[in-house]
Amino acid sequence: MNLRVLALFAFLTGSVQAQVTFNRLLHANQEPQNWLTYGGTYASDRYSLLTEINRNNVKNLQLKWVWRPTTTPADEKMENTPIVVNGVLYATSLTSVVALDAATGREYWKLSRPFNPEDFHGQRMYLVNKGVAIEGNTLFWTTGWSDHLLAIDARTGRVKWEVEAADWRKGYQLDVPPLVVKNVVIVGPATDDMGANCFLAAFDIHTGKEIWKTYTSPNSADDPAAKTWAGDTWKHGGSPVWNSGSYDPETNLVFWGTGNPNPVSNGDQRSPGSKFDNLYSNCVIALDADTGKIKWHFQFTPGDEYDYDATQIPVLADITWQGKPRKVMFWANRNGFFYVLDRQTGEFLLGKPFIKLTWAEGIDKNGRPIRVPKYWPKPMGGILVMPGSQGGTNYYPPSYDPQTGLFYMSVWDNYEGFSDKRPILPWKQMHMYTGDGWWPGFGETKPPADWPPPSAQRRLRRRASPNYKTEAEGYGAIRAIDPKTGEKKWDFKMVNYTESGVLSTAGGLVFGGGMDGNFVALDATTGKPLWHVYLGGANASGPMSYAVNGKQYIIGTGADTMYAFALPD
Amino acid sequence: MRNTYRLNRTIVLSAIVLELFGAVLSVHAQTLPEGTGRAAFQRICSVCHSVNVVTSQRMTRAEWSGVVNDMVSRGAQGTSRELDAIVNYLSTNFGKGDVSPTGGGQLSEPAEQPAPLSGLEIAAAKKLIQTNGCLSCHRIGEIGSYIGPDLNDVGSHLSADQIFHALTSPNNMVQPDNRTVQLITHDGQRVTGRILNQDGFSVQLIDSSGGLKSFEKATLHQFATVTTNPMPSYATKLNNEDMRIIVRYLVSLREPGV
Repeated sequence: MNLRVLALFAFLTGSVQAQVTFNRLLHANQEPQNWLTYGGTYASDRYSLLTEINRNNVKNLQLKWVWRPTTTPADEKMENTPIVVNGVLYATSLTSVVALDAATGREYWKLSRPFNPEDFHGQRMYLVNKGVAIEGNTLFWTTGWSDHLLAIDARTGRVKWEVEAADWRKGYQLDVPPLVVKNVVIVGPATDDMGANCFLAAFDIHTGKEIWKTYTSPNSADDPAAKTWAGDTWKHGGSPVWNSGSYDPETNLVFWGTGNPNPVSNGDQRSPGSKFDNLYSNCVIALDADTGKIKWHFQFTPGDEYDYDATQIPVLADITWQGKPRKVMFWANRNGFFYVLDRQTGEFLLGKPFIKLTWAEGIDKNGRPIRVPKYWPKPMGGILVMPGSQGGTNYYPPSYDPQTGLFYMSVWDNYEGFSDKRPILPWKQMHMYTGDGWWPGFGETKPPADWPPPSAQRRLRRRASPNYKTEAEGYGAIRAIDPKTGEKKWDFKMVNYTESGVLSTAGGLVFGGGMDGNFVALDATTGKPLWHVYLGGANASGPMSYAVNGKQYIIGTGADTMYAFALPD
Repeated sequence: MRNTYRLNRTIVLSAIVLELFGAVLSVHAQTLPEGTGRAAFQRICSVCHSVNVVTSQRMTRAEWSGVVNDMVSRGAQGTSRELDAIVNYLSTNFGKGDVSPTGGGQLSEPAEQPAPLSGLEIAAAKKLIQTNGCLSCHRIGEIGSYIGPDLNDVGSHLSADQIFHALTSPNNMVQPDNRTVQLITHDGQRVTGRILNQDGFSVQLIDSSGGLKSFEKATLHQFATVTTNPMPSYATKLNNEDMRIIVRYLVSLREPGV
């Protein structure tokens, strides 16, 4: 190798170093000062190896900076987990992406994409954004209301390319954090019960060209999954994608959770007698990252009528399982069960309730729920069920700490809700298709004469509001379980419920929060609170951690605002 | 697939659409209008869906009331007062037709405006309230305690029928937002008050004299929430005529301007 080639090699290596290559994404845990994906690593374990902030000094944490997106309209709550690359933090709101100095919060650039009225006709969607992905020097961001996927220059905020990843006119919304694998960026839309069949799609990271597309509800009668729907009800099966996925390089599989079948609350047409499974609703699906082909699937709640979305992010871990090393996936599901699956094959290994639930008695050896007959099919007119509509947990990302061996998550326990069931109104594009009655504003202007059911209404009006209620009336908690057994290890209980994700760190800490506005640091081994701060509104994002010049920071959110904490200088 | 954000033609079209529906669109494009009930609306409703699902609609008070009741049956969590405030807020800012409180369908269905009480009847009602000790817990005008619900606007929230039932069978289930908390501080001081707010670490209350107090739970020697209703039944303590007058008087107590 002559000198010129050597110099060129050195130059290339240097410039490559500054970029987030696929190789860096594969080994994200080797650079704990950065936070390169929504879940921290491809395993989505939301575990930081940083130890500067630890059990002994966490009580000294100080506020370092605040970021409040001044967008219009303002986000309803901040669900964003930022990413950090070499001292630059990339955060998002519904209508903007910013690059901030991760040490001071000062802005380098901002890209705004205000609501385009043409793209937004009062469709039912969440005014939130969960975050961006990065590859090379390119960020990938989605606009929830127009279903666009944008590639953005991470140094300048310039848009490199932009595609319509889904058509909002069909009832889609797109607010997942994208996942980059090799040369593709993968996203998928949700439908908030408008009966649009959802999918995952991979786009070339350089051009935006669609490489593959795989439907989560059947796209044709020839799809084998169509047989799991009665008649042609698969045509408006929904099965939304609400969150990001995880990736296993060894098998080249991406894992993704899917949401409820449509109509959400009434299965009489799509699953008469609760006899049809309605694939791939409420599943984890394992897809080949290069082709999108589904290699295996596991369905948590077949033929669902209770909105038990598998909207969680899969957590991957390599553990010793019954004496042998095993590559597994942990999943605390909205339906109230905690699962362990073999991620290479989809084999069911464990299923155990992590909250009080009434709709099932347990899980059989194949992982199917043993259903309590009075809930299946759901009686017309509805029924009180545990967990209620928000589930035992929801979109809030959990964490796995290999040091303690514990799985941490946010839960709603002792939590009952009325799940309604009404005749199914005919499907209409961009209209609610729920089977639980009247959703105003989408064509139906008058409620049915007998709506809502008075008995349930009376009972629920007597229920406590979260800030006044007692623990017996339901509570939120950050909960640690032993993932090998599903046994609870500790609880940090809150008066109110929680929408916060959880971060664990090698400093022996767990960070999380609640709808009461408190952001807390807990002892990862005991759950004892070591520090807390009131952030003025619900914590609804996944906390994360990074370091700049050796100084560790913790990010938490309250209401629509992001806060960075660190030890005193 | 389209690779550009919008075409020129679309911009022109958008402008026309914007002009035609300016009033409606401005609601999407701006933050929510100020007003009582806005905070409760944002907090309680956005747990399950975007608030613009709601604010893109225009409905009568009765229809908004139906929607809020519907959401309660789906699990929306708020106090009766908060839910009433949401109905008021939505009908005022996103209403159509008659948005006045008597426009029908208020959550707790206050009775149609009764005939005004005579001076004698008002005097009789006030005397009954005094002799029966109502003001040892409740407050009317500038007199009474803060430990129970303030009755100055009770007619805006409860119908005559509901007030009658509250007087004759105050069952064991006190409204959660009216619960009493009892605590003992680390230095032995006993405090009783009506709960205003709490979280895992702290509690906020109002005591009988109207003092607003906040405590860190970790510093308390004892802390308890009383879920039963301390109010006695007046079913046998008041005769029919007295009951009729006191109910009519309470129904007449309304929030000013609502």
